[in-house]
Amino acid sequence: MKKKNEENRHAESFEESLELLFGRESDLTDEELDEELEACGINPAELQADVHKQLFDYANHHYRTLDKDVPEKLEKTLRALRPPSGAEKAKAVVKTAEDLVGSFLDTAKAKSSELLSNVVRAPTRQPRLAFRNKKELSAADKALLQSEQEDVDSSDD
Amino acid sequence: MNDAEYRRLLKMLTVRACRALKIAAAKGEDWILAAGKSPADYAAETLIIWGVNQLQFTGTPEKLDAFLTKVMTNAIISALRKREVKANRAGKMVQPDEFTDAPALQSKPENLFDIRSLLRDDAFRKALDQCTADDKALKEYIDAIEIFEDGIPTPEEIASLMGVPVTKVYEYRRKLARRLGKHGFTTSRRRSKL
Repeated sequence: MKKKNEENRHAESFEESLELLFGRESDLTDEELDEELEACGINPAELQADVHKQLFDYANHHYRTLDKDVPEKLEKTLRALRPPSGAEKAKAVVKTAEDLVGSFLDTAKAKSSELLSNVVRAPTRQPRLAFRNKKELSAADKALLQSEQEDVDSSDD
Repeated sequence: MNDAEYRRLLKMLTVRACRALKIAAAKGEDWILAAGKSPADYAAETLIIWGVNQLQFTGTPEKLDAFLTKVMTNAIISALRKREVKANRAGKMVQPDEFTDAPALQSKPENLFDIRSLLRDDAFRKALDQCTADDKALKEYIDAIEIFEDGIPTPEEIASLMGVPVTKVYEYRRKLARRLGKHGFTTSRRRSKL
């Protein structure tokens, strides 16, 4: 009993030390967990496959070959950790490719509509061809031309 | 628990095993990866004993990961305590019948469990220094932990001492874990005999 208590105390103290130095594992996001596993030389996909194999072998050895039912929790864990099959992997690759192409097209569409809207919004400085080609000027046209000429002359000053 | 939660649980357990075994390995030459098991082996073992109902858990589902993490940490500590996993300074496994009274093989894992003793341990300190050599802030984080002589300081206390926001403390912790993880760690590819 005393030994057990001592072990529990050590475990608690060790957990506190780990938490103080590195923080809680449950506070990490999935990406951070993957990063830390990779820093330790563990590929997350390989880890899942490795642990699944260990659980699968255990279930076969202790239950299936003895014609016993695999406990529900073990069965659920096995199902959750089952590595994707070849067909599932291929499907995932196709999905990723489709997503990539889709996002590329969306970006291209957004960029082109942005460019088009810029072109439309740009002020047109072209002289009105109809006015330039006018042969006979009315009094109003002449007055307008006169006032424009005066504007130009005054800005030259 | 759904499938994604199971997969996350596996990752959390393995990260914990990596951290615990890394500290044990970094602390001294007498302690090797306990009984030759890899972090994945410890995680798998924990999931198996949970899966076959060998563990009594009465808490809420959100507390399951903390419970299993604790169970696994206890298993690692028990393995480290076994005489036969002690190795000589070359890292060779020593079988019980070859066990000698050499002082190098007699060190106790006790100072592994307490943060103050751990930080005073030469080998562990050396590993920490190597991991923080090029990072002043990370070095200061370790120094700040050492300043608290009694008890375990909270992230807020450490942040206040360092004069940084508390989010920085979380960042230092993650960084330190990754750096110590990279520090000469080799995972075992051996299949466990469950």
